[in-house]
Amino acid sequence: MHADTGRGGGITRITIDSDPLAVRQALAQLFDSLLLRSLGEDDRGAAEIVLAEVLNNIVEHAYANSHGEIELALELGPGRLTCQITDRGAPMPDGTLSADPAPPPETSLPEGGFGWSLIRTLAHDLEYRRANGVNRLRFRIDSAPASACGDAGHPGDGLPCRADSAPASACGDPGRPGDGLPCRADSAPASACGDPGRPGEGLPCRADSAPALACGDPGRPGDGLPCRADSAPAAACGDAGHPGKGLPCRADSALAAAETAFPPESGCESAEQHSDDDIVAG
Amino acid sequence: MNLQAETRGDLLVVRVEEERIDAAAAVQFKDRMRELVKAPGSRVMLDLSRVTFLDSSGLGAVVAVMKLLGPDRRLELAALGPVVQKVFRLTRMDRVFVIHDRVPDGQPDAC
Repeated sequence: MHADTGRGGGITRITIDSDPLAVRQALAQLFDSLLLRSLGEDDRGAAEIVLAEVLNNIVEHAYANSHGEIELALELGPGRLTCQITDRGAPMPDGTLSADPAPPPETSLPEGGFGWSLIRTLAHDLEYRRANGVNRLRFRIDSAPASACGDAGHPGDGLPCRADSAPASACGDPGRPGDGLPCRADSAPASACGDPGRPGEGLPCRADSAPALACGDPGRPGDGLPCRADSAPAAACGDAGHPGKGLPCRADSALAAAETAFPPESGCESAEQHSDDDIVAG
Repeated sequence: MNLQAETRGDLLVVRVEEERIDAAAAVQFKDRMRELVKAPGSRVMLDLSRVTFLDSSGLGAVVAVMKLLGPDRRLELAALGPVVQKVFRLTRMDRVFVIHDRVPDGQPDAC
């Protein structure tokens, strides 16, 4: 393998051979570099997983284990790592990113097919283009600004948070994991508005929303207010010990990504998927 | 792929003496494990304390080892690092395996 490393304009560029060992060495080099050392441990882990899956897919499918080059361009910005990966191998099937795999036949545990789910769960704004014989995949790894995401006791554990917001239920509430995180400027914490027993009491709620924690929950003051059609707070959805339990998650939220990767109810067998490898084959 | 096996009563502990179980190592890992689990024992525990990274190919290899043990022998995992843990959790494979924080102390069997 060879790895040409160059930095310019805040972008780190590496070119590697299409080979599993070259991928391993490039990842080691990248994650030892100053660029990625500045990421938090959890984000480094997420970035390394996604990059490994993307690169190995290219080695295995786009180049089908023949010789070729893969170019990486990584840019670390505030709260995010933007990645662009290009190769000259075969295109993705249908020239596009496939939809998520179909529900699995409930036969036995899969030995493959995990890669694309990991990529979709951990990476944001995935974008694939094929032009002039070049595959280009772009995506983003967001840093986790909120302690709710990546909080060991919390369902959002380990998942990246959105760069622009703390989970609504986390901000301003001393009893919760996200305690003390800044809320978005245009909204009061969902759990705080309209609830006299909570620290955020008295803050205005957004006009278009009821407190997320209150809607649909008969035991709370906000009971009966309409919820926004498009969201529950990420921290609230699907958490058995939490008042927001059962509310739909936002499609773009970390938890939603995890839940859609594998439907929660179907258990172990749910991980049986069509091979990602087939789907990602490019 | 350096794997060290040790029998403790009916437990076979296999320590992975590598930092990565990735696409470059998955086939070797599976082949080595296939040899090692020929030794008798009703349980097999994989000590992952030295493994800092595992990708989907490595995960697939671990699942393959569990399957080749058959229905009567269990594959248990111990001492998962943060990234390894994350991969198991996000793929929900943490529900499939018995996972221990660490390898239990080796106590000689009472005679």
